Amino acid sequence: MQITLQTFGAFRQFGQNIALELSADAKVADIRAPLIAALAEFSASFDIAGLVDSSRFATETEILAEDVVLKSGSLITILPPVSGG
Amino acid sequence: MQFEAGKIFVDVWDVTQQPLDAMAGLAAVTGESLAVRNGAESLFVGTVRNHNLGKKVLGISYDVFIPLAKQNFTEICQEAQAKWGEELDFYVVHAQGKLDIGGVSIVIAVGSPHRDEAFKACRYVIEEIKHRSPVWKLEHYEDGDSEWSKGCELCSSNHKHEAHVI
Repeated sequence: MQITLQTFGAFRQFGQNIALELSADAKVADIRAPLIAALAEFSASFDIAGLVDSSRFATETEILAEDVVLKSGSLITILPPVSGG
Repeated sequence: MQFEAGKIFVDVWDVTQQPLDAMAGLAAVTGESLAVRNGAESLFVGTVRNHNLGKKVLGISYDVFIPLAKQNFTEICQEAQAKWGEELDFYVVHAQGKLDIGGVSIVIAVGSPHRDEAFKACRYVIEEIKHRSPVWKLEHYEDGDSEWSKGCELCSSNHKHEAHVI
């Protein structure tokens, strides 16, 4: 299935959205490996894996648990560590 | 703006269109009719300082996931009401966009019958927003460089989601 990741914070430099191809039964936790692979070209100058590992995934209304099953075509937002206020 | 007891107002403003206004926040929780009931209003104002971690800062750009942030601000205010009184009034506005030094990044105002609850609830709201709300700072430095703040890692939801498909 394909999902679209909406980016914020440090992920903005990789575009407003990132399209990812995942397995049919993918869960939230399964977003990380393909995302790291998709951004591999930037990994020489940037700790992509570290940033992805410290990020969470959300919809407009909630932060998603790692075991939530994804639906094809979903728009998911990636939340790197936050610094509001 | 005027609202009834125990009301919560939260918003995110594009500061290039509408600068934050601390006194408007205070006015929101000290409405004429509320002043009779409320005996205390606390106000927290966050501003952009000219340095961070030894580097000279010229400004900060705030990136906000607005729908989730507004929901999160509301939940935090509701938690404060549960802790310190359902009658407490809250006003929370966060900036989005670029601010220069001294620019106002957040205004939190709390109205309460008593000062202890007003102080505690206001402190709770700012601390929780810093740790939990989907907001990110891009710091602009004197040397022309820019960097995203390291920030706090979010906890994933505590709720059980086995049967939950989105």
